[in-house]
Amino acid sequence: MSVMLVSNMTKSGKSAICVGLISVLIERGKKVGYMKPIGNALVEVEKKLVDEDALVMKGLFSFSEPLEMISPISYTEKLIQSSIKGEITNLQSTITRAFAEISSGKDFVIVEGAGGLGTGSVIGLSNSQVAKLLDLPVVLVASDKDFVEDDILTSLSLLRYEGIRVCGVVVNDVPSYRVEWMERFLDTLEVPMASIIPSEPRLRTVTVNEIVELTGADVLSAHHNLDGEVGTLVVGALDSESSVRSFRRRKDAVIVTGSGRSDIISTAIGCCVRCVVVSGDHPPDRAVVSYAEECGVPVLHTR
Amino acid sequence: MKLESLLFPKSIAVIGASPKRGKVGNALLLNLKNFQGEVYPVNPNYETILGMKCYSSVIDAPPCELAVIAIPAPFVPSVVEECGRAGVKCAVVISAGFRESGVEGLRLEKEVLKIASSYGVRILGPNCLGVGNPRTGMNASFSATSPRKGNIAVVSQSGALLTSILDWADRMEVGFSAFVSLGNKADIDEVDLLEALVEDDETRVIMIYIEGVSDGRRFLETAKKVSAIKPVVVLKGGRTGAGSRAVSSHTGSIAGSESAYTAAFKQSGVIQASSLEELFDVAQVFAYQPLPEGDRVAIVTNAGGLGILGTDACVMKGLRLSDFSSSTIDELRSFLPPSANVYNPVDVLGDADADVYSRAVFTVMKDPNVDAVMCLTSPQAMTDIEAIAKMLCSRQFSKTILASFVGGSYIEKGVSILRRAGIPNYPYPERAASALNAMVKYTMFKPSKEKPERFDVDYHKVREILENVRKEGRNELGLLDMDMLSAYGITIPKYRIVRSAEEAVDAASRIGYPVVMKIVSPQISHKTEVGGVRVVSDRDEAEVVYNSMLSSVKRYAPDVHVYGVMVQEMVKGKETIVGAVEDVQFGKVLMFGLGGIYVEVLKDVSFRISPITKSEAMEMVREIKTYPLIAGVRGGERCDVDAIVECIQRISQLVEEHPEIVEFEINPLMALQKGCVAVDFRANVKWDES
Repeated sequence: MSVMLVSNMTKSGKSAICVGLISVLIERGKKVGYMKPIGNALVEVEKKLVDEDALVMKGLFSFSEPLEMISPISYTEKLIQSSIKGEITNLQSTITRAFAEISSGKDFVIVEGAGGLGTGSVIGLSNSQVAKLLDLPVVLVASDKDFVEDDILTSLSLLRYEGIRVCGVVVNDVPSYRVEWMERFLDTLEVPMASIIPSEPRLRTVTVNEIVELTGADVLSAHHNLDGEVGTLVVGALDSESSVRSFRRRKDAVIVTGSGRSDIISTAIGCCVRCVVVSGDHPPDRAVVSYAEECGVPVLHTR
Repeated sequence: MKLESLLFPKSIAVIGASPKRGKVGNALLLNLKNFQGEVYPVNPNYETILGMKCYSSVIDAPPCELAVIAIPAPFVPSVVEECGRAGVKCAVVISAGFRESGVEGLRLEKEVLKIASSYGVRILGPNCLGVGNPRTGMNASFSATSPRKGNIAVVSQSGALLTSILDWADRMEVGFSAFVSLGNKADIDEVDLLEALVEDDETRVIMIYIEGVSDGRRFLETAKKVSAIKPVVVLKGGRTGAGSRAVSSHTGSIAGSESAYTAAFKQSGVIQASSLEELFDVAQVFAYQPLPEGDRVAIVTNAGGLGILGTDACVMKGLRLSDFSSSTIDELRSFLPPSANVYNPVDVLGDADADVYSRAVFTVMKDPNVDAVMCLTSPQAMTDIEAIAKMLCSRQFSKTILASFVGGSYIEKGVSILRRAGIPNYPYPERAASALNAMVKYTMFKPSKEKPERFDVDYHKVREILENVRKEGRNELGLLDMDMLSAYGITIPKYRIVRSAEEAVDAASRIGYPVVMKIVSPQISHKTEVGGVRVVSDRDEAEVVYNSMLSSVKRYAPDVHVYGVMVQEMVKGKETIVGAVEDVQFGKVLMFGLGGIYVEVLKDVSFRISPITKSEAMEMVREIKTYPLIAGVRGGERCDVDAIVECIQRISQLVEEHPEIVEFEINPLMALQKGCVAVDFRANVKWDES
């Protein structure tokens, strides 16, 4: 049995939901496959273009199929141009072949649509067209933005018009105060399954360690304290007295300032911020670094 | 006495003693040559130094109370260990290369401290100039000057600045009861010294230079107790933005908030000097002169211009010119020339001789309406400066006397006579006024036994609200959490939080028009700027405003969570602001001001460290310049000041009892003719990591 996840617009959380579904099914002892027929999030790996989601999924679940089978079509500008010129054929059969191979011996295959519902239309492979081609029911994933109710209703009529079976709707990233209202709305939809994923701001955070990796910064103090999650970012160019307020107001803040601003750095340390990133050719004063060490606040120096 | 082994040791070991000129270990030994106790040089490389037997370690030396350590930092921990084993009570670590030099130095400093505390050895420094007590001839420092005996104790966070102070004092013939350089303050800090020096009877005034206090609350408590017994004059470095940056570079720590320090000094009766010059000026007058009983000054001068400038200076500083009794005026008339001014300021005229001048001073001194006398003298050809100085010094007064002999080389001899007799002379009348004012302020400060009031409040309700906030993962509080205020007995308007236009209309009609509608989103701190506050006068408007408010807020702040709209009873009064912030050094600092432009533009606000007493809360309200606007001026309505005072006290209790509140502001608190109402509020919390 297989299902395809589609969404009204890109960045709605399809991939994350795929990860969740696959994990749950594996936990229940099922054999699961994953496929993203149209690769639209392309990255270069070993001089080849591959879809990033496919790459991540393969990494996470150690799928044995090669990447070009998990995501057989690379959705490039060139492909679109060729398609408009009428030079392209066989895309459908490439997909059905790959799907057949992935499905064999599996209890479930989770298929992820590319981008939004319309992505792929120009090559004749919109999300709905792929669903129809593979004869899959779909789950519509929508992220809770302004007037998301309108988007959901429009997407549902479109899918139904094209004869696609919609087995579920998931609204992602719903702030707590909207949950009740959203539930009432979903009740009106007449879909077999409808659910909500509440907002969790912590899912958007990075850790101090990740900042170190990303920036290549030197860690000057509190090496033992790099696992903390970062809530917000504050660029500090104020005076130390007013900066106390802005450092305090933000949760788990990272303070970015110049390495010469000892006042800002020590104030940030005194406010127990998550970490301080300083930039400049020279590291900050050593006395300040000692203070950071004493308070357990990492100071990261980037050049 | 506390820290007796630091201030009155009977024996001192100099670890790192050296025969080589220019070495710290050599300077220390030379500075200790007049010490009345035993001195033991310690250095494994020498048999004798400067003719004294040298020991290879402190353990081999005879038992001693104090060790002064001047060896490279990496060797200090093992030497402190030896000190502990040898029964040394206190060690002065002169060596640098600790916390101030980075993470490795910090580790060494911690190690030294750990070893020292395991043996009960107290540590001064590291990275300091040393310590001295001229009464016992002790100068365990590497200063270039050995100060004379006196009754000023000086404590400095900067060692180099201390050397300047000692050298200045030498030239001014000012003496010290003790001088201490704090260095990195790994163990002994300014508060320990306050506790020790308050017990030292020879010390009449304690002058301190600090860049930051180690523990604000402890400083406040101790300084309050010490100030009740003897004056404490503090010069705090790093009061401006750029200055605080320099402090952080120097010490690594935070210079701290200027307003918090000023509040702490006010609350503890500490005299805050605004410059090094003022620190000297003030310390001198306290060291030599009796305290005035009040703020009434008599000025005697031989120069009309100086008299006028002196008068202006006194009044500008907040002092008063005495009104002489009629007997004083009669007496002055009896011996002064007819053209002399016998009213305050007394002008004895330029040709007055020493006899007439001093007689005028003695006359005003007797007047019961006079608390202090300021003698302003200019060097005219007829003026016998030396004779005037001698005459002034010929008597002992029970009232304060200060001089300002204004001039250059001609007055020099007179000034040095005054100095030796303990009459402080200031080169300008303004400085004399400023020093006298510091004395008057000190006299006026009455340490009170008053304790902060404890109100009957619903503590658990606030805990419950805070727990909810925590569960929701918020750190901002706002309208949504308004009940927190009423739980602490602060009046809030009638309100309801609604989530639809119908509900808004219903709530408004129950509360009664006009109502105020406000967006409820703790993340929005300036609601008006996003169209989130509106006054609504009827039903139709309520419906329209509900919808337009939501869409306006969405437009300006698309990412914030909106919990709904608050429909609130309209309250009209005088807008004030009461707030609290967590200061890194002092804990909760309370703030009060008049709302709107008065706070934003004029910065007309007052601060106190929490928890506060009723009198302190009252002072906060009265201190702002715009107080007359609250108290009712020119027929204006008088607000209920007592209600504001109580509200400030309740907030003090609230922020003290719930330490996770790091920022808190009721803005505005509407002051009414009777009572006051908190109309809007925001706060921030910081959760302990768990």
